[in-house]
Amino acid sequence: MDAIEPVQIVSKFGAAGTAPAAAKEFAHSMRVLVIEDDAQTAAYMVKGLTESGHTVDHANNGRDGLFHATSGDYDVMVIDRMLPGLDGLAVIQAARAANVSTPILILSALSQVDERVAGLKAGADDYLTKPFAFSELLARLEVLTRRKAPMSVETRLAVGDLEMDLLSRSVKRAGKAIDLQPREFRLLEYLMRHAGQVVTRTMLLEGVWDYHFDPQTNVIDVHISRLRQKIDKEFPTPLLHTMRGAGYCLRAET
Amino acid sequence: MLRPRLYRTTTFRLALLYAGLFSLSVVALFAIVYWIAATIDTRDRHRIIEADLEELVIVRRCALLPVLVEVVLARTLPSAGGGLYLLAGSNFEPIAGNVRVWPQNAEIDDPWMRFEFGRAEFGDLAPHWAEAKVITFHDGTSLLVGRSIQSQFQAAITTAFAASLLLIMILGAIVGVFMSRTVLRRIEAINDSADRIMQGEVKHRMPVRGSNDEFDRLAQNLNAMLEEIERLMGSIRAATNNIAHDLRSPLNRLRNRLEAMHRQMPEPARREEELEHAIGEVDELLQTFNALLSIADAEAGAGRGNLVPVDLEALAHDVADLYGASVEDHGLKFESTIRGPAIVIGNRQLLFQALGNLIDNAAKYGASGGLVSLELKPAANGAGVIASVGDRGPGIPEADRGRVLERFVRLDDSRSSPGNGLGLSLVAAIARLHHAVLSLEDNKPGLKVTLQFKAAAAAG
Repeated sequence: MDAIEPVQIVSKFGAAGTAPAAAKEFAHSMRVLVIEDDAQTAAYMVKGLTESGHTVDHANNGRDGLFHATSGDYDVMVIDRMLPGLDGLAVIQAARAANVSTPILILSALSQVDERVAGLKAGADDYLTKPFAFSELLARLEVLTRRKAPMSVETRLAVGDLEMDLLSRSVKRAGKAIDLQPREFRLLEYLMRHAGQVVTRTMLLEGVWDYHFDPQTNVIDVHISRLRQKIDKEFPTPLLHTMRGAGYCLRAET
Repeated sequence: MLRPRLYRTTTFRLALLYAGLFSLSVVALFAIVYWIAATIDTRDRHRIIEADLEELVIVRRCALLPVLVEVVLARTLPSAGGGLYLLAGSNFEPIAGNVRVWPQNAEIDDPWMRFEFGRAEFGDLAPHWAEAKVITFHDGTSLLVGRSIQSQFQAAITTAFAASLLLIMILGAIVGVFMSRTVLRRIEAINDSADRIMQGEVKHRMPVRGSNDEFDRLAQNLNAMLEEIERLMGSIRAATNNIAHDLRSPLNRLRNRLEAMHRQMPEPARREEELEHAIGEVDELLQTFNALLSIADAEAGAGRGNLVPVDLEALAHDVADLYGASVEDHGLKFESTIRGPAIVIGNRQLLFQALGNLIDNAAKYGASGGLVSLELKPAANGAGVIASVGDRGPGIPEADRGRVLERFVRLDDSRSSPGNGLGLSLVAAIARLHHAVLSLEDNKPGLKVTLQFKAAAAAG
């Protein structure tokens, strides 16, 4: 699985066929538990995740799922909201009660804001509405597993020759100071914290603006292109890449 | 449909109940009148008997027994006062009087005695009760003076009351039947109308007589309800047609594209491109579906229980921050005037989407005007918050302003531009969820969309 990159999946949508070598250092293999009763959706996820180099276990009902969740050692779990046998929320609550702290992403056809809140309240870490793009799922799982690592109190972030000082709130690239608006700073901070990972537009809207819906228009793209003007334009190698059909990725090319 | 039987109707039962209660009060009245009459009657009778007896005692005291016999006989003549007399010897053997034998089984209520006797000589064969007083003289003879208890007066009262009771019962039943039939006929008319509507005559309405009584008001309310249902059904039908139409075209395009690929099997590079287009089209369809679901959610009042105080001022700054850049990207100027405090009870996510949609629309359809403005301020009267988004574009003719809020409605000029015609519908649904008033105004020139929220306390 060494040759397989999380970003490789975007090639399905016509992006670069080979993964950039630089992303390799961030690539990691995840053990994923998928609890999903719809056979086709499950097969789609299992196939996609396996192709991306991850190990996947699949349960097609809540009871088996909970058994796996409490006995196996997983990096992340994908749980459908509505399951036969035991409801998705109940599985999450039971797993959390059994001291399973594995990050959980809920998959649901219910899009209401309330449903999202209920899912997060039950102990899930993220929420994705069906139908979803595989790239969105993968990007979110990557972020969730990364989140598991204890967050050290960082004062400085760096990607390639781009540096961010979180204390003085200043940004430099190749030693040259870059002036950013507060929102641009937060956007860049989010991208730098998830360097090497694909972040989707909805993830940015959630992470930077704290609103949860599908923006549908190019509002996020406009902010990205403004940021790109400031951090990439005058430099020979671009850092902020557009992953077609998926989102964006900040990474240093080597 | 089951037709209720007359005697099972509420009205009929009520009428019977009233008649019953009325009869009961008549009986009570009768009892009181009868008791008073009887008391007066008894007192009179006692006085008459005592006076009579006193006279006879005086006669006996002043004269010999034969004189008394004469007097008693005189008093028993049919033309006399109708009293009862019996003069008896020491062994109670009758000497004179119209009572033939000394009463055997008399009830004694000292000094009165009551006994039963037959008065054949009065043509009265049935036994009567009589009351009498007795005095025994020192020679052993006894004199009984009494009167019949049954008075004509009491008999008359009894008859009158019995007759009126019967009359009340009959009248009650008649009125009950009449009222039931009247009420039943009007209810039947409403039932018939309901039947006809259920049979599919949706245009039919409940009959209104014009008397403005409770039945008319019921019928008017039902008619208003039917109008509303018909209107809603109409809008659902229109929306369904629009959905079908607006989804069929992209689905058809998608199908054609896939079919062409299936037939021609283009080379890899071309295939990638075609697939990408296909996915793009599916995404567009999904967006339309999501928008429809969001509208349905907001319209169903989803999460109404979860509305919390939201700082619209901060939210407006966020909207300006996120959407302002894309407005400027369209080559337009973006202006925001945000003035708090602006706390409303609501759903932060939906409110953000509403304002975002409005700015999106303004940038899309007001592009020619060069300016999009967002304004937030407390309402003039201090109760509530006004949020508005304005542009300087062509605006919307007054006649079309109501229509654009409906699902999938796109004015002809905008048919060619991208969009699904759901943006304003979502805003309208979100406004309704928040009890906010959505209005489209002339921005002179351009369009100004205003959302007027109630004050946080009042909206709760």
